[in-house]
Amino acid sequence: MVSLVRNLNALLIVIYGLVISAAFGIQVFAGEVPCPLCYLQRVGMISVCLGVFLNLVYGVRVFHYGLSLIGAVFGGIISTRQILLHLCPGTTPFGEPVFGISLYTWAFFTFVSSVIFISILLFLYRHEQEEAPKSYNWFQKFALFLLLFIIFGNILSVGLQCGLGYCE
Amino acid sequence: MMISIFTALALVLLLGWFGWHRTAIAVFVLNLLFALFVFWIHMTDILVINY
Repeated sequence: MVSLVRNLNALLIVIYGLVISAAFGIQVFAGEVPCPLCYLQRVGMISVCLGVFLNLVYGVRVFHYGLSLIGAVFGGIISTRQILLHLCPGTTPFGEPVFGISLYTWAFFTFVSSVIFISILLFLYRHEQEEAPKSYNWFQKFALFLLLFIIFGNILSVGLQCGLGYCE
Repeated sequence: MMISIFTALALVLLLGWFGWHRTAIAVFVLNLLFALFVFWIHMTDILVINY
């Protein structure tokens, strides 16, 4: 059960890592530069990942799940704001839709899904999961590497696009 | 401004990896509050950029 829960925590990181990597792909190959709200949604996603990252490093804690949930709520607020900005008929959506749905709407779906996923992880919580791991399997190492990639990838992206100032 | 938020996320990752557990959590929470502040600035257009 302990290894299952740790792998599920790593799975959450991998899913968001792949989501943000896909966003990088859209940014680089389709030329759709992210807006400030898009970057803030990425902050929410990475915040969810960092909560479960602390679970992988220090052992599972309910507190860490709480941090992830706050990140998901934050991301949900930002994506809701962006959905509402483009909701009225006649307003053009921001960016090209993917499978008919805008990226910020997909982001909202991921934040809601992550809240549900973390709820399931909380159902599975047992005291013995609090022990810090002695080693990581290949899947957890891949999740940690992906988290590193998406954080530093976003630093590079924001730095090139906005510099040190305000993103317009 | 935005780059500082992502830099802080990297800092959380590094602090967490190298054993600074509580510091990582503190930076995480402060960073999220700052991101909320940046969102508020964006939402209210309180910083008007004059060209």
